[in-house]
Amino acid sequence: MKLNEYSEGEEKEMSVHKRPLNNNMRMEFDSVSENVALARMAVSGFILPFDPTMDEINDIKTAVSEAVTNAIIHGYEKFKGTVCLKCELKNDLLVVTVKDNGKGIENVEKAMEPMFTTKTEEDRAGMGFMFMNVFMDSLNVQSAPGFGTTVIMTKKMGITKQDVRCECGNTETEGTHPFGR
Amino acid sequence: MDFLYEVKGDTLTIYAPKEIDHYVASEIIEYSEVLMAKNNIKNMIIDFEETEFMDSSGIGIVIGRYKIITKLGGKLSLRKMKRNIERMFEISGVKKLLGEK
Repeated sequence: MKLNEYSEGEEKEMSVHKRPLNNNMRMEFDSVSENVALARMAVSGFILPFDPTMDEINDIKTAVSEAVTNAIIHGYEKFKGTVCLKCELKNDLLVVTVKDNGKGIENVEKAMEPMFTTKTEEDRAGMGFMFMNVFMDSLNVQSAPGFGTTVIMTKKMGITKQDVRCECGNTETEGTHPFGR
Repeated sequence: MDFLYEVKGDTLTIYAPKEIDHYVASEIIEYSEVLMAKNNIKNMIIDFEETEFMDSSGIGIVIGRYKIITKLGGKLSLRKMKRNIERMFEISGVKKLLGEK
């Protein structure tokens, strides 16, 4: 039976059954700011088969952009190093790891405070960690001066799925089937 | 240069690019400073019609420009933001700072 022979409701069921999906990706790139866009593209490509919503794509892209930017401009500053981006999808949990071998963070707690930046002269807002925190479900930062920084972020996929899918005017989310029972 | 601009009297309009990250942010900041000095700019409009993605580098641009423009006694306005861009300005408190609804 072809896909378009299903009623809308059944088609939705099918896309739910397509999960779970497990996948892994690992990439390394030079610490130049052009590569922030590359990291964003890679991570959106990685989650694409999982059928993410626009919001999920934007949230994850933003968080990755922040983490990779930090690695490049704070971790390595003017020096050239390698940034490692790792993505894992286990069932519906996305785990993103961004690792650098740069100078590390002296005071992680302080660095994570909103508006805190060591680069005031460069018009940095000091909101990188805040956005990672807001857009992902969990954020873990491991760092020590001279030992680089590892940022691990997780996000459960599919939570915001329903309110975006039912563009037919039904904005109810949890527990209600968008096409009625 | 990856963005367009327009000077009308003492107002500079910057048409922000499709994606705003650290890479393009430093360009926008640099060029807008040159343009402001050259044209006696007092007010600034940043137009986000083309912008589909922005990270905190964009917030940095806006806060930085806001400080400069208010010092000059002018006004900074943001326009045509998509929903995800607007959300970034809301979360960061920039919307409140600029006194926008």
